[in-house]
Amino acid sequence: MNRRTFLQQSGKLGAAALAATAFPRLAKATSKPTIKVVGTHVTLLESIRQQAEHDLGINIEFYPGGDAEVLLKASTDPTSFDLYEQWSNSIKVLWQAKTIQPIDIRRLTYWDEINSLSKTGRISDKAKLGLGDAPCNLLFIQPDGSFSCVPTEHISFLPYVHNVDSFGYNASVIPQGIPYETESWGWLLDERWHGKVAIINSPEIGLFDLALAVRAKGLMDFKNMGNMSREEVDKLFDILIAHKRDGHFRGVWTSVPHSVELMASGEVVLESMFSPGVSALNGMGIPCIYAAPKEGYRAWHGVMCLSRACTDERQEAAYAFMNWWLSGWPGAFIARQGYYISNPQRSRPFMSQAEWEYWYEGKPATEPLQGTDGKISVRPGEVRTGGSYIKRFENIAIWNTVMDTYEYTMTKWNEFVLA
Amino acid sequence: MTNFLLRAIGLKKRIVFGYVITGAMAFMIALLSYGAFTRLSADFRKIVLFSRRSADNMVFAAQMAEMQRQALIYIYEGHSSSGSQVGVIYQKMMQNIGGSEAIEQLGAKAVVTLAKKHLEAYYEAFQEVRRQRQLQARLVKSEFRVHATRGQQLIEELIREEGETRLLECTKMLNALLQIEKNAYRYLDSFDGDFIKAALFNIQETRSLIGHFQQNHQTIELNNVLNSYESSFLEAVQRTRGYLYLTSVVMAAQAYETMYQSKKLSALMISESERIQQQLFQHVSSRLRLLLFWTVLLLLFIALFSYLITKSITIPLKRLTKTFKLLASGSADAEIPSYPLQDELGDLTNAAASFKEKNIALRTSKQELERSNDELEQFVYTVSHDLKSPIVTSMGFIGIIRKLASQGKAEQAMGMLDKVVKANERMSQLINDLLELSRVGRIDMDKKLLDLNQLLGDFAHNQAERLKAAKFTLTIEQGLPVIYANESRTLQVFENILSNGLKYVRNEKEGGRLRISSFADEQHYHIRCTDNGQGIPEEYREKIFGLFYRLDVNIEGTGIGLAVAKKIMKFHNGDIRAEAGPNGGAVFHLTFPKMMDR
Repeated sequence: MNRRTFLQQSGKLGAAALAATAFPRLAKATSKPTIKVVGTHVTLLESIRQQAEHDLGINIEFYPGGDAEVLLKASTDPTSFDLYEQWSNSIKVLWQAKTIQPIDIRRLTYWDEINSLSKTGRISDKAKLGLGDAPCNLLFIQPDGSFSCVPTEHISFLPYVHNVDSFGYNASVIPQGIPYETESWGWLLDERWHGKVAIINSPEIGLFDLALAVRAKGLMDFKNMGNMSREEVDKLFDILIAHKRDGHFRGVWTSVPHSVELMASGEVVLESMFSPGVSALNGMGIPCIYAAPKEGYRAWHGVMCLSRACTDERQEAAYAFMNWWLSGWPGAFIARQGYYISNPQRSRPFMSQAEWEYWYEGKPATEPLQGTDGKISVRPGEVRTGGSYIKRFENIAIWNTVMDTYEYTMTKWNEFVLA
Repeated sequence: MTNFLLRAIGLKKRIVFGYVITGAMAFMIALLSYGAFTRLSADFRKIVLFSRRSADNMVFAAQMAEMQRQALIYIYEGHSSSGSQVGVIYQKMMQNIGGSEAIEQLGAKAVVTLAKKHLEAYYEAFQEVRRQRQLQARLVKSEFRVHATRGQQLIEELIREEGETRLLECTKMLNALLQIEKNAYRYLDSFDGDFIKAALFNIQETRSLIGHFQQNHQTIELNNVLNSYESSFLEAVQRTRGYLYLTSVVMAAQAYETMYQSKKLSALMISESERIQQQLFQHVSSRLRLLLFWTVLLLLFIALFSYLITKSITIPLKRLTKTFKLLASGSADAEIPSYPLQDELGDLTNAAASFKEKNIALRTSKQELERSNDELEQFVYTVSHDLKSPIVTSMGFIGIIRKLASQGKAEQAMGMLDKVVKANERMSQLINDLLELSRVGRIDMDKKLLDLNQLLGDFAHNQAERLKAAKFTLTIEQGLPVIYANESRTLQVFENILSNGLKYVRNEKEGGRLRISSFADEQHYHIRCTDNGQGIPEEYREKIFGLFYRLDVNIEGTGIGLAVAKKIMKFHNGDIRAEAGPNGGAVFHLTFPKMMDR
């Protein structure tokens, strides 16, 4: 038995022991509570649901859907869910709609383990805070009902899954750049890729990709990119619509498979991307590189919110589910998809040394690493673009944000898409 | 080529073959033309089809734009007719999209499937938009009014109950309540999030003002109304945001993708149409060149083949005409042109050959006749000369006898009578030999197989006394052939040769000898009768076979024997000739045809 095998096996045994003691099973002799979880396909995975049911002894129903669909559902009907899993940019909407309730941090087992990124907005002292709604600004509920970074005993969401996004490019067409040095959001507007650029179809995400690109190209600047004024939105869209009419953009993509299809077909060589899309393209033999833009990443933070209508036994089960998410196994599971958890050390025992080094420390893979589907997703020698978890989150340009001009940006987005 | 045709292909076949080849080439040209025109027609059909489909795609794109326009009218203005119109346009587009022959031919099903998928997603999103829009409309048009009206009623009741003492606060409350509605509608008109904040502030302000009043059933109900009002407003905001998102983000993207795929389809069709056009032009051009080539080739072939056929007919005909002209003039030397085939010209050639054979036979007959006439003249001359000689002799002796008788010299006259008798006997012998000569070939000429060994053995036996008397040796060698001949005439030949030997061979040293031997070649048996006499001078070797010719007139004989032998050998299709012997003697060389000649 070598050191690596030993570490892996002892880690798994330790993790199992931890899991066994961390969750008092909630199932009572007579009945099991059932909770409804509404969210996206990113975290509402069958493997997770089954593992959680097994560990917690409760019934869990997942209702995955599109971003807009689940947000509308959660913001108009609190009885339609017990827990809501989406992005931090949905918090303002839900809180304003009064469909979620504060989460009591005293009932969160691993609250103290949650790192500074979620609590203060910075992963390290030298890290950039990033424009827009950094999660900490939405985390703590103040006595007046507003959000801020000032700690209180109640939070609007459970911090858990998060990652940074950028754009992917086909290295067989576009010369490979140097991370943080030559790779730039400005490439999205580079004339050389005319007609072969695609953007994610989401005003609160794609808009920032484009705003970063416009600023990187020096076409305009913003007073606060994270909360643009109407005038700035107009000026930005004037530039974008001109590019669109000129045929610079192939279009917008509406799902990860769509983004993969666009690049795989050769229609697109450069586009906004999510981590699973890049992995899928690499798996298909297409050398898609997930850029580490010198201007910084567009970051996102997953949120788990408690429905206003969730009470009593279901509320107890919902808290158990939230605690389960930070208990280690789920963090290790989603790490294999390229996502990070807010208390990574708790997940470390559930990962091999090679996995930890590749996913969190940004080191070359020392052995073939499996994805969540059991297939090899990382070959030995590969290095995660952008480096370690800390380095990536030290370079945040902006957080996905719902701006005050949200509705207005939507109408402009409509013009842009159809231009 | 002409020679090949003349040697290998019959006249009829040549003519038929020519027609068949010409017909086949014409048929091929027709087939090529048919193929070219069929392809041309198919390509034109495709072009028309693609053009029509491209036009359909343009209509499709226009319909998509119109559908999005109607959807936006519905969303912003709430016109239900526009909402219905979206459904109508959608149905039309779904009916017209895909499934056409052009799509099948283009192999663009995937593009159509994608366009259809996006169109369906678009309409599905619109259905949700309508639902959200209706829910929002219910909230705005019904619940807002109910809450605002009830709130206003409660505040007015409060004013009535509280009186003028708290009128100012109540009026503020009423204004705040009215501001809620005003800001809510401003938000719904402008989609400006600031009005949400303002409306919520108004709700909070109203709630705060209510708190200044003593709690009673009116203030409690007013709070409840405000809570409901706030809830309705927030729901309306979310419904608005929801359908706005669906319209501006989801539907817009689906509409764009639908139009993109439609444009892609159009581009594919235009590209395919252009490709077909280019291919069509190339095809027409190449087919025309091919047709021209084959037509020229056909004409050349017809010209060449006509020339060859004509030549193959006229050349032998000209040759035959020339031949027939010569043949008609009686020529037996006319050359019969070579023509190996058994066709009409072959028959004509054969006829010419027959004609020539007849001419040859005629010439031979004529020559024979001439020779016969010559012979006859010679014969008559010889006969008359040789027969005249004994008569003249007799008449001379008769004159002498008459003179002697008149002189009374009877005894001398009687002595002269013997001379007359001898002369008459010689004439009689001549006449008998001539009769014998004339009989050869006419009388007693039946042939049979004759074993010469036996025949000549018997002959030698019968001649033994005569030979002994003449001290002449006749040697018959063994191994003589069996011939097909007339026995008596054959024997007559050997008898004549032996008689000549007995008369002419003078060999004091060895005595006369005659050796009969034989050999054979492929076609003949050769019998050699070799004597040991003085031989026959070369100039006489042919003449001795002439009538009445004798090498030595002093030796008894008529000079007919060898002529008879010659005639007998000719009758047997054989021959006899005189040759020089090996030791100075003479050789009579007989030739008999082999058995096959019988």
